[in-house]
Amino acid sequence: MTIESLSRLRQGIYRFVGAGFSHPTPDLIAAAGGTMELFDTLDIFDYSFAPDIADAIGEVAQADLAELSVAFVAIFEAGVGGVSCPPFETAYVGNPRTGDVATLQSDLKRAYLRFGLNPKSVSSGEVDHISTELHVMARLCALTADGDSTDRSAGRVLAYQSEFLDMHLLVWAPEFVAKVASVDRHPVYTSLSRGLASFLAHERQLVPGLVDLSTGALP
Amino acid sequence: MTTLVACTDHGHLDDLEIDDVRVVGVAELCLQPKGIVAHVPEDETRLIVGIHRREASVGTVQAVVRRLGFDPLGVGLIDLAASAEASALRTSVLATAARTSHYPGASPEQVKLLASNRTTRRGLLSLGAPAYTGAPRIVEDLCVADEGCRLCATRCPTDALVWQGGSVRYDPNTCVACGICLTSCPTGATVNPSANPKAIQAEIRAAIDESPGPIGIRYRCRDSIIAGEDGWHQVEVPCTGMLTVGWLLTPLVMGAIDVEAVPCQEGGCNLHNDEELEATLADFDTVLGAFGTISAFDPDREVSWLSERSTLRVIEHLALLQPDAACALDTADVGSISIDPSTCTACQMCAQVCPTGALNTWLDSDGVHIDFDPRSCVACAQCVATCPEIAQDAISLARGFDPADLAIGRREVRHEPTPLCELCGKPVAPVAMLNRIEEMLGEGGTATMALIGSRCVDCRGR
Repeated sequence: MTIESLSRLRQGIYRFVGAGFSHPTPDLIAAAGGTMELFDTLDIFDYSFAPDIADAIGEVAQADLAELSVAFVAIFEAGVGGVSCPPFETAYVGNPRTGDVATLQSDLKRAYLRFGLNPKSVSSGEVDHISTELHVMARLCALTADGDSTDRSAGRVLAYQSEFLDMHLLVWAPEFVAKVASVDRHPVYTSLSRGLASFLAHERQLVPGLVDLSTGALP
Repeated sequence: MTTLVACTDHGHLDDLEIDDVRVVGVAELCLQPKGIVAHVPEDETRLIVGIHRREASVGTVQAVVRRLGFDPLGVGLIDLAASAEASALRTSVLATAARTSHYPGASPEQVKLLASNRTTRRGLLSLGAPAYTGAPRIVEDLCVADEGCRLCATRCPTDALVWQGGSVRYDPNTCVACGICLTSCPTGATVNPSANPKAIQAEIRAAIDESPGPIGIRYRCRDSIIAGEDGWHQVEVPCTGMLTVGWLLTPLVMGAIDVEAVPCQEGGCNLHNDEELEATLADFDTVLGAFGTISAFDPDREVSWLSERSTLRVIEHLALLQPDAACALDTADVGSISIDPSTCTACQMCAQVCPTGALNTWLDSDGVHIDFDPRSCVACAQCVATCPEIAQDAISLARGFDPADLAIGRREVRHEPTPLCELCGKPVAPVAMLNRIEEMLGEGGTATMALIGSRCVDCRGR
């Protein structure tokens, strides 16, 4: 295991879970079949989140597209009295009456540009959609994997990852996934939310350590 | 059924036969932990792995058992070097099986990624499988931080726990999972899957019951690797700095012939908790001196000796057997308070912050009453720190215990009459408090005092 393969693994998980929280497509279900094999070559079982991610992949691979689409709309897009689990950051941290939503979305756009990412190229969804934020992390992991792990830019990209987790994903995603798990409407979304919770709990500990490694805070 | 997969390069597996445990020996398991995979039946529910800790990577073993579908924190790990003979290994296997059977499970937040001591910049090029341990979680229903308790935060050596505005915040990145918060919590609100008191007590019980002869219990830190010695069973805790006098007394009460606690490594503790351990051991010696010999006292085997307020629980039982064994201690979590009525204003702040209810207060027509029960006091000293009359030593704490004092139990430690409001008849304030206010106001406050002293808060504006 190297930092490159670890970054590839993290990139893959962010991409898979990000796709899982997007509108279901036949490609998602078809791709899930080979995903675990790929992750296995990247030593996923070295990490504590492996069982939860494996469960989620298994559920997606067996899912029926029509049922999944219905569940997606019911959980994330419609509901009596409002959407039961809004998949947007601004629904958890912003107050729409005070203009927080616009400020936060603008902050996110600026952050994506600072990371060298064009928001529209990352995802077709809203900038604060869970899927977009997960895809942003996937792109940052890809930059780490592609770069020379010993040069300064690698440390900068890892620092971006740490910053984005602390400022955005870790602030609201735990509440979001807890909500999805409690709704327990479809096994795919229940297992995806458990997988993401487990993965993010691990990221909270892993990424600062990687930043220390790359910036020379360690001997 | 439990399966033990152990490395044959170090163990004494030839003579090992244990009821309900399938013993499998694998050559070079320490170097090739993947050898575990071929020897665990698919339907196995409990697994113990025997390795030589100096040779095998714990992270790799955890990765292998995780692939098999086991929760690595719930898999028993035996250091074969710690079991000097086959009989000791048998005891160790049974004790570990007892501990794993009480494993409570862990949520994702309770899984702590351990930083390797050997991580360097070269680690960027090659990372090993990381090792994990249990991390603390605070059970909000049991936590009394909203009442002012902050014992876990005060004792946390890395400030991973911070008390703020009536709740305790936890930072997983600064936490070193030493377990000190677990034993310092007076209400059992802090839990850690790797240091579950019931599981550890079950291990001690099994070690004592299954040992062919008398046995001592040696607590050791997660990071320490100690060679086995005849007549001793090693019990792993996150860090021996977490031990309290109660945790040290418990094995003796349960029938062990001796108890020891070893820090992480020669010359000091990895987690810098040496001073905590030294202070606890000094108090432990004092308690042993006071009681002389401690004989087993565990008739019904159902007492949770290691749960919250362990020291109090054990000492209370020992005090029944030896009523004259009083002693003063330096840092132990047991004590008694006294209130000086000449300086105490009966404001009752002490009772409000007491996390265990050892100090209790109530109001009746007779005035304000404060009572105290030494059987609930964990000597946290929050009452002393909160007292507004701290400069006058209105309340003081004496660490230690007196069996006679414990036998009395709850008693009134303060009573102060309270005048009633001239308008509505409700209590105004304790006389001592009114006197203190008058003293502070001086001669110019006569008119104010006339109002404050005769009317309650609600009626002063009328």
